[in-house]
Amino acid sequence: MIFLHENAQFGRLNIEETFLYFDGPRLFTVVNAVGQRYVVNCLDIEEKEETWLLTAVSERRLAALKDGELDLRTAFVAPELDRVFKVTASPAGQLSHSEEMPSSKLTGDMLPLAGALLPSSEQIAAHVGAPFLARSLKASVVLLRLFPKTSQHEAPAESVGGLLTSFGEFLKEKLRVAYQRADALGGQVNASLVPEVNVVGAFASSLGIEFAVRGNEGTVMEALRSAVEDLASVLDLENLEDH
Amino acid sequence: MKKGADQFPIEDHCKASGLSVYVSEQDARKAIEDAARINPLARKSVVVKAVVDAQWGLIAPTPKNGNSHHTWWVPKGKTPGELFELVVSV
Repeated sequence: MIFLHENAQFGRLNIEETFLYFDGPRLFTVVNAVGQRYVVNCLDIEEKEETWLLTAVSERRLAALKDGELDLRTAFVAPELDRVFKVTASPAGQLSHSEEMPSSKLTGDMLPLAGALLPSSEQIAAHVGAPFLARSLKASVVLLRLFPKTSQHEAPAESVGGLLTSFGEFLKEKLRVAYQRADALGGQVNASLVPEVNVVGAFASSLGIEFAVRGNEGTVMEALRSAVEDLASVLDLENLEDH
Repeated sequence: MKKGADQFPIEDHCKASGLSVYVSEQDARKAIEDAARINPLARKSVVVKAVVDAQWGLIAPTPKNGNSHHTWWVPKGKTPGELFELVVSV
């Protein structure tokens, strides 16, 4: 659904995910053709004019909002781009006015209450499982972001390196076992192959993992699927998302 | 179809095309209070009440977390505003 039709400032903004809906979307994210993403909150609705507040968000910040690590008000009062946009548009989505505002000019009646968190999306998220990923990507490299079911606090910086290294080794071992299993079953995977696992980063309670696997594609992907299923089970993961 | 209804899956278009109402005044008040925490427009909402009969269309229970949320499909040409009386500003 279009939030704003093509315009010089934002391009065309499409609604991506709705978090509050009453008689229309009232709090949601929008994205334009080049991936610039904003959280949008409705300030006022009149017959011929609607007023909205937009704050640009990075993928990282949006993840923090969804995870409850960051409250919604902070996304507006401490915007990543140091400014927010107050826009007025017609009900049909034609931009009529846009005003760039420093966050210092925002008043309480334009903002969520302090501490209020982004509610769950009104749309039911499609569950993306590792087997589905492995089948649909048909690729030898799968990059996953892993979301735990509950809010987590980030580890102290000095501990992160060691944690990630250990975690990478754990995953490598899981893959090695899966390789051996596939080798014993079909002989299409050389069990002596050393799988490559790269833990590429961690932020806002999520983790990126890059698996680089070699060998017969179908069988190796089966081994990867099995390893990821084990991993999802061990970590009690809620969702797996590809990039 | 109401604005935004088309963003929902096709099986939800019918529900998204109705108006949200609550059978319980307490539930209506809570819904507004919850929305008002995150959304400035919701702070301008008030609770109003009315009794409707068959000439005012159809309603169906569509609970959210077990509350008394209903969806009301108002017939074309009817203006529900004339039915309601103000209960209280939230």
